[in-house]
Amino acid sequence: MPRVAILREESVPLDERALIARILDGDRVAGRQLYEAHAARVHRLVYRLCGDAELAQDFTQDTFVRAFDQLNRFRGEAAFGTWIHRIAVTVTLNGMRKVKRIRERETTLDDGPGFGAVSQRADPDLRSQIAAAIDALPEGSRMTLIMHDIEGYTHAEIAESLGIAEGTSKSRLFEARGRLRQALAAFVRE
Amino acid sequence: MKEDELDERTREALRGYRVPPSPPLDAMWQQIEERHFGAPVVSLTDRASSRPRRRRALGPPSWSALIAGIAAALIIGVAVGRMSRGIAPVIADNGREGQYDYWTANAEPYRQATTEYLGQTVALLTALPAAARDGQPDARFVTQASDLLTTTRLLLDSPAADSDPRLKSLLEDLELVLAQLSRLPSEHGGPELNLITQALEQRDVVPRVRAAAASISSDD
Repeated sequence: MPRVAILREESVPLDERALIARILDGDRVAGRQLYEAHAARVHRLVYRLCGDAELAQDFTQDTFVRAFDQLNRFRGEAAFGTWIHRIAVTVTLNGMRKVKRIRERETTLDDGPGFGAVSQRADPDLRSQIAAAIDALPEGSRMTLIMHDIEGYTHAEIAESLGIAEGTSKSRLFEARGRLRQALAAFVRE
Repeated sequence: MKEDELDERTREALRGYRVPPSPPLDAMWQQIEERHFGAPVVSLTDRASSRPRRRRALGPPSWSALIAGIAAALIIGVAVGRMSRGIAPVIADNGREGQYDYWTANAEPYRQATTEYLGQTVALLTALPAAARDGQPDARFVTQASDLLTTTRLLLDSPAADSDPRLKSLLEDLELVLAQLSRLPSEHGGPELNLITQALEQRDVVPRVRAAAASISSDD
């Protein structure tokens, strides 16, 4: 599968330490530059995780606000990209749990589908089946599959972002792929 | 379906899982800027068609006023520089004894003004594709381009451009683009805006402006 180095910056080389120092001094131009260097990738990951355009915007905004607010705690031990992606994952997970709780309460009466659910029976198309199978994965396995197989993160980057061991990331990916294969077994028999 | 074929189609389907839409970077930045830094300085995407995500606590300072301030600062800077050159030349310690190096001696104010100007130009240019999609630039957009054009010409006439050929070349490109934008007709300007947007993409103007801003900032 083609891999994309998500956390490596390939565009404008920025002296991020200098930018961070300027942001800490209240320099909004520096803030915009740092934002522009990372926003598209953060938004892409957040959207893949939550699947909702408006939520992805909100979570991306929350991610950067939280990162800027906590910038004085950024030690520079990891790349800024890794650090902000970890914040993005945390913000998105917490946000999705909150939204899920609200939507579950709202849909109790009409018994509609849950957050992010895709009906497997309604559409036999492979793409829909895969989307449904991914949505049905346990949260940790789903995030690992999205980050590794779709967004191209390495296991080291996933481990750093999710706060887990690299071995855990590998086993979650193995589990996710196994479940996908099970879900798609019917296509092999056809 | 065979397993190999299924694997291939599965990979394709995975790539198509929740394909993200193009992120509204400017609109998101407005909210981030407001929440972290306070009221935003630039509100280019505050258009009737944009989705108001949150109310602003304070009205943003007007873009025109900001540009006028920078332009005024540059005019004053250039004037003061020229006056001081005539009255009391500054000899910079650049290893060439007796040679006048105005830029080295007076770089900081120009560097700050240039950085701010480039940041605002990026903001304007990144809003272009959205404006082109809307089909018609609004009057404020044209006014902002006109204000930035004034600043561009002031910078071109300043030691900042004289001392840096790359910056001068960039400013000359921007002068052309901003001159075109500032002359957009108030009606039926959509096709022209599309052409300008395409030309910008072909010449990689926005990445060059960003790189220049980053380079100047890192010299601080």
